[in-house]
Amino acid sequence: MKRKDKEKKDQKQEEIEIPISKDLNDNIDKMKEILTDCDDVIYREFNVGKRQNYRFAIVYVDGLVDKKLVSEYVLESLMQVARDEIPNPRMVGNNLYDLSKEGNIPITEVKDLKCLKKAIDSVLIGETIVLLDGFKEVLFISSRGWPVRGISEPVTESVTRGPRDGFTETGKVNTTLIRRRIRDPQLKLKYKQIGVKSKTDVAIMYLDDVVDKNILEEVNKRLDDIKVDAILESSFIEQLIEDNWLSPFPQIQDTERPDSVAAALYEGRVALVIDNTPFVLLLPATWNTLLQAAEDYYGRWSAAFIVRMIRYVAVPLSLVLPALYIAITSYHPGMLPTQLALYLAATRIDVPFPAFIEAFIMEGTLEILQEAGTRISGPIGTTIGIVGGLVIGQAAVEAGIVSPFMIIIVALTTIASFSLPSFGIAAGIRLWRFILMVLGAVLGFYGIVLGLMVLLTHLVSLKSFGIPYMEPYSNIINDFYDLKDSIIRVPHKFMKLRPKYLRIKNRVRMDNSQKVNDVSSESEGENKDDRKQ
Amino acid sequence: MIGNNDKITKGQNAGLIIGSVFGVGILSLPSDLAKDFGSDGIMMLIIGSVLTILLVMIHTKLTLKFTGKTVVEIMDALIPKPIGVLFSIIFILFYIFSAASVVRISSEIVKMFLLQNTPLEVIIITMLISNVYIARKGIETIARLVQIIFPLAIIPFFILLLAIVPDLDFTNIYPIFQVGPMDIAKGIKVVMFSFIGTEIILISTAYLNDTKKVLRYNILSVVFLAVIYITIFIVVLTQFGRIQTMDLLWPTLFLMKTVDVPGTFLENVDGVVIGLWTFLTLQSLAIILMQGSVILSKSLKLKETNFMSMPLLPIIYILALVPENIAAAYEYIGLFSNYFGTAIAIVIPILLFSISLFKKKKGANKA
Repeated sequence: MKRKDKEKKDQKQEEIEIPISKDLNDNIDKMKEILTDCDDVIYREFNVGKRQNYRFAIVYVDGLVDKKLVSEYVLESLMQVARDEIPNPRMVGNNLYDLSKEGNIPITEVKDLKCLKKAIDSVLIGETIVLLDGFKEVLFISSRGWPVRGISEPVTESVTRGPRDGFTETGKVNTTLIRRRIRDPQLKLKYKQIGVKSKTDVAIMYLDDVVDKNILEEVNKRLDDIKVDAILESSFIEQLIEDNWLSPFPQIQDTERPDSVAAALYEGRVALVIDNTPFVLLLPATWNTLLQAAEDYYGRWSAAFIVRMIRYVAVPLSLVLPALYIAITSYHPGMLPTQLALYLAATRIDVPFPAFIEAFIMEGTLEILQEAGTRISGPIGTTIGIVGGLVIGQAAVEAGIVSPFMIIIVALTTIASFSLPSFGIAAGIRLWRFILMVLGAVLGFYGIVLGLMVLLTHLVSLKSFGIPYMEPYSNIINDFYDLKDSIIRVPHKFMKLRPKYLRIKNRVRMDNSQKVNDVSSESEGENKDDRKQ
Repeated sequence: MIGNNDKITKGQNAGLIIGSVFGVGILSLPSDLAKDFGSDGIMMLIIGSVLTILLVMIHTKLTLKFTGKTVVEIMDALIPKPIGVLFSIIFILFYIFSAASVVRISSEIVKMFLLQNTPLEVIIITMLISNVYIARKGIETIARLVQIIFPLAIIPFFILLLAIVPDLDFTNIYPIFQVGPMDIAKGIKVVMFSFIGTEIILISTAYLNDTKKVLRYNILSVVFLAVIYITIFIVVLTQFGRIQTMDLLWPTLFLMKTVDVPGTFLENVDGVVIGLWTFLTLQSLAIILMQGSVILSKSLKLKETNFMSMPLLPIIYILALVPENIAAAYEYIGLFSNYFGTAIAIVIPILLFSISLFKKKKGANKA
C-alpha cells in the first residue's frame, strides 16, 4: 500500500514540474514568476554566433557562483570564441545545443536538465544554468563558489598530538577531508537531500566491504522517513533518526575531527556528513565509543591505558558525588572515619541549611555559571569565571552559607564531568546527578542504589541502530574481545581484529604477517575464517 | 526500526542463572549450614552443586528439545491441559512467594543497616516500583543488566574479603567429617534451597540466539556459584567459628561489619557492602518478576510478555507485609517459596523430561 502511495505521489510531483518551452522569453518569464522578489537572481541574455542570430541566457544567484568562472568560461567562450569560428550552417542547425555543450564550454561538470523546476533548484544551490532559444533542454553548469571558512583546528576536540584539521561548514570540503584519509575504492559516498525547503545535502559515507548492510539499510530508511522543512545542524538529523529520543543520552556520536571519522569508517561504522555544519555524525554509537577520544590512539598505549581508566572513574564521580555527600551527611555519618566525620560536622556547624539544600544551591549556581560561560566568551567570559569561581565560592564559604567541603565536592564533580570526551554523555549525567541528589536526600544510600539501578536499566535497554548501547560491557562473557578498547586501551598490536560489537563479518584489521607474540587462539581462528570469505 | 528482538547470548544466559540464584539466599546460608553440619557444610555445598549440575543438565536438555519454547509451551505439548494449568499456577505462586520473601528480607536489611527511621512500607514500595520498571524492559535488557551489575557488585565484595584474610582462624574449620550419611540425606534440602533459581533455564533458553555449547555455559555458571558459596562459607566459618555463625541471622553481612581495611577513606564499609548487595537483590527480584510476567502472559496466551508483572505487585506487597518480623518472614514465605521452588525446579522438569523421552520413543516407533 505504502509503495503505491509513494508512486502516486511521485507521479503527482512530476505533473507539478514545469516543462521547458522552446521559447526563451517564455522560459525566462516563467522563472521570473516563480522567483518573484528574489533580487539576487541574475538573468543575463546574450547573442551568440557570427551573425548574432542565436539567443542565449544564463541564470544564477549572485554571490553563490564563482563569477570569474562564469564570465571567463561561459560568457567569453560562447560570445567571443564561438564568434571567431566560421560557422558551418550544416553543422550548427539543430545541433546548436550539443555543439555548445560539448564544444564550447570548457568547464568540468556540464549536464542536461529537462524541467524548469530542477533548473530553478540548481540555480538556488549555486549552479549556473544556460537557456537556449529553440531548445527544450537546459544546460547545467557546475559553478558553485561562495566564501568558505578555512580549515582550522577543531574547537571542541583538541589534541596535543595528532592532526589539527577540523571540519568546516562546507559539506564538500568535509567529505574531501575524509576521502584524503581513505584512498580505497570501497569508500562509498551517497548523497541525499533532506529538508523540504532547506534541501540540505547529506552524504552517507561507509566502507562497503566492512560495514554491516543491515545498519546501512536502516540508516537509509530512517533518513528517507525524515519529513521536515529544514535541517540547520546535524543535531536535527540526529534527533530525528535516533532510536530513543526520550533518553537523555546521545545514541549517535558527533565529531569535528576527520581522523575520528576515518577511524570509525575503518571500524565499519557509517558517517553522515551534513552540509552547513562542522559536526559529522557517526553511527551506531555506544557508551564505549562515546568515551573514546582521538588522542587515546595517538599517545603511547601505557598513557592511554591509564587515561581510559581515569575517564571511567570520572563518570561515577560526576554522577554520584553530590548525592553521596547528601546521603552520608544526612543518613550515614557513621561510614566516615571518626576524625573526618567530626571535621565535616564542624565545618557544617554554621551552615543554616540541610545538606540537600546546600548541595542544590551550589550545584544550581554552578550550572548557571557554566551556562553563562558557554554563551559569553572573551573578556566578559573571564569576568564571569572570576566573579563566579572566586567571589561566589569564597564569599559563600566565608559567609557560612555553604561548607568548604561542599565547594570541593562541586568543583570535583564539574571537573570530572568536563573530562568526558562526549558533551552529550556529560549532559545526560548532569541531569541524572540532580535526580540522584533528590533520591539521596529522600532515601539515603538505598535511594542512590535504586536510582543507579534504574539508570543502568535505562542505559542497557538503549540501542543504537540495533547495537546494544552498553556493549561490550552488557555482553562481557561473549564479547570479551572488545574490552581491549574500552575501559582500557591495549597496544595496537593486540587489536588485530575490528571490534566485535558491530557484528561485521570482515574483521581483519592487521594481517597475520604483522608479528605479534600473544594473540588468543580464538581470535586467530576467526582470522582464518575471514580469509576464506 | 530495529526494535528489541528479545534475543540473548549464551554468556548472558549464564549471567541470568547466576543473578537469579545469587540473591538473599547467600545471606543466611552459612548459618543454616553451620547449624546442621558445622564445617561439613563445605562437603554439603559440593554435593549440592553436583546435584544442581545434574538438575541444570535436565533443564537444559529438556528446553533444547523444544527450540524457542518456554516451559509453558513445553507443558502444552507434553501434558494434558488441566495439569498444565495447575503447573502454571504453581509456577506463578512460586514467583509471587519468592518475590515477597526477597522483598521482605532485603527491605528489612536495608532498614536495619541503612534507614533505621524509614517505615518498612516505603522501602518495600520504592523497591517494587523500581523493579517493575526493570522487569517491564524484558528479558533482553535484564540479561544485559546482570552482566554489568554482577561484576560491579561482586568484585568489590571479594576485594573486601581479602582484607579479612589475615584475621581468619582456620582452626575453626575443625572438626570435619562429623555427619553421617543419614544426616546428609536429611540435610540435602537446605543446600538445594540455596541453589533455587536455576529454573530460569526453563524460560531463558527459549530466547537464546545460539544454542551451541549452552550446556557447558550453564554448568560453568553453577560451578562459579558453588565456588562463591564455598568461599563465603569458609570465610564466615573461619572468622566467627561454628557456634557464633549459628547464632547470626545474616553472617555474610555481619562479616562485613568486622572488615577494617587499613588506610581507607571509609571506616565502616558495611554501608557500602549493603549498597552493593542491594544491587544484587534488586537484580534477583527483577529476574523473578520478569519470569512471573513471562509465565503469566504465556499461560494467558498474550503476545506482549513484559507488562504482566504489574498485576502481581499488590499481591507481593501484601504478602511481604504479612509476617510480623524477620523470623516469621523466613518461616512462612521463605518456606512456601522453597517448597514451590522444589516443585518447579525438580519435580516438574524431571516429569516433563521423562515424558518427553517417552513420547519421543513412541514417535520413533510410529515412524
